[in-house]
Amino acid sequence: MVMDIRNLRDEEAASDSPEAVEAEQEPGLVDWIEACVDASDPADKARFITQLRLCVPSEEGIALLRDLVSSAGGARALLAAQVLGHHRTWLSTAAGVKQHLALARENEASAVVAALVWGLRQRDEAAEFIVDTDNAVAREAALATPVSRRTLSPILAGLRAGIRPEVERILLHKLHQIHPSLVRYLVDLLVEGSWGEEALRGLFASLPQMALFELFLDTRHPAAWALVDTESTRFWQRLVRLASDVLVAGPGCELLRHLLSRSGEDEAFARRHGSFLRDAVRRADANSGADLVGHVERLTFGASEEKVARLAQSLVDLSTRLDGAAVDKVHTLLEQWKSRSADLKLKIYHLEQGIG
Amino acid sequence: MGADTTSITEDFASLQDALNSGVQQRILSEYVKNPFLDDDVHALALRTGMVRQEVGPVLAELRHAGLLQSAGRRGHMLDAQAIIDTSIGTTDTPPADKEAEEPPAQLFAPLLDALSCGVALIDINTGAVEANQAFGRQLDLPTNGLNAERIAERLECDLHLIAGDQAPVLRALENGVSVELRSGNMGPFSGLIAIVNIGDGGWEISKAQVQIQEDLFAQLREEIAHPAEFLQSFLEKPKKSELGQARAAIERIHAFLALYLLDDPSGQPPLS
Repeated sequence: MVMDIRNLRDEEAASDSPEAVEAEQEPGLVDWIEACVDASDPADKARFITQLRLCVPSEEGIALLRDLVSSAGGARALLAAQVLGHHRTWLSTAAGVKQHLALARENEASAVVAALVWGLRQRDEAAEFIVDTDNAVAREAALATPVSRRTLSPILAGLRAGIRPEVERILLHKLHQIHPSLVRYLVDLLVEGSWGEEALRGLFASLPQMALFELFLDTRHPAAWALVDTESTRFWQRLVRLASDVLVAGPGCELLRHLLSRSGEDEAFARRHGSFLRDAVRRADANSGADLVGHVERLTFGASEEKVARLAQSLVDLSTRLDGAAVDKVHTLLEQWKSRSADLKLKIYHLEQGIG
Repeated sequence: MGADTTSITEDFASLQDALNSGVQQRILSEYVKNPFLDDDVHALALRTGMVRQEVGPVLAELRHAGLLQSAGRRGHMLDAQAIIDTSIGTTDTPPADKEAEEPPAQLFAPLLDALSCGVALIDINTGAVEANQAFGRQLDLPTNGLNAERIAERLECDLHLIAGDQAPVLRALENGVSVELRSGNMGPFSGLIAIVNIGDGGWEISKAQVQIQEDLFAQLREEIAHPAEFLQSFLEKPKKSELGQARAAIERIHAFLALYLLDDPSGQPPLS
């Protein structure tokens, strides 16, 4: 019997071909990750990290990285998660995001989950990890979460639940930069849960002051939910009181300028918010005082006596917060106004003596 | 089972030892923890709990020291090359008996040679100088055997005096070339940094313009192209579950346009 060896020769030839050898030798993503983790010399590690940064993973590459995250464990999983966070082509499809989320939900190593959540930066999906029990994961989620209609609810849930101070700091800082158009929506969400006094105070202190003032203090129409029942009305009133307290305690320059401008222009507004304005001006930051005096000066340039008289009260109040050149400027301005008419002179004199 | 999850980057922690300030170490530690991190000043300030104005100069120092590099869009990332250089610098120390015979290691040679303007690092205490070819060419000085004395002679100034005074000094030479001398630290180096300026800053301006353009394109990709791509796929196959995402995509595009192109002086929100 004779054995047919033609096929064997073909197989041997195929395995010896240069293409086959080249294909075997070409290192891939997984090889670099393995080599990076195994390398003992920091310089070698750095070289592999550069390589991992420069490569452009294909769909298969992304799948391999996911496999490493879910099955390799330890440093390999962490590095694979960081590479996934660096090369985010998977973000372009809903399925890719879903798979990434599943990886993060299922993984048990907190460092790996934090790296996966970092990969979700500026994505609404990161918000679900804000209340994670692990600090590193919750911190990364707070950093990654953008402020949007979709994320406001989980952000507020986190703040209400009492998260770690560092995570709270990050979230409140983000809320400080919320778009004013979203503040109304945020306030509507407050009714969904029970809030402690301190948590609400901290939240309000972080929100844009102008939006808070317009929403709670300069409106005659409360939110629709506030009229549903007595308890809701009471909650709304509590929010109004807190907003007023917070704004008066640390009024920003923008709010004070707005109050002064509106008070000068609109007598009804000045009457409605007179006491609030007085309290706010008395707590104005001394550094912004000089700026406010300049603002009042501009507002009263060529203005009517009534407008000047309305703003004179604020200027006298403001002078108690100032010192040095700013006080001199206030006095000069008041003297100029006094010279306008005997009536105005008397009014300003009474204000200065505290009998206005 | 692989190694512990912290072991990938703990080797890089030695980089932090070279830094003097705790703030520098704190910022660098974030990049060491995640070598792929590409935060900008704002994100980094939020991450570290530091004031934004404080983070900017520290980042500049770390970039200046070659530990961080630009990651586009005003972001920064760990400079892997610095780790390689540091490692080579620490592991390839010549034997003690040869130390006296051999010139000091040119640690910053790759960095200096990559610069088109002439730059020299002058160690005031030892008089040693590390300079690139451009520095020698632009000042008509030999690169080999260059020392602090030769430079002081050429610039007609007292380098010790300038190093003692923290303010930078500009020395104008006869051929329109000027040399800025400022005290500085870079890794193990501590002394004066001399930078030659032969033009009117045109190169720097065009470089800055290129960077601005790159940043804008990157932002356009992120804020316009990606949301638009999503909207296109959504409109082709609308799903109720993705309605919120579509709205967010429109909000994102509007916000960007309002910020850069359609800034409404009335202050109305971009999407109401």
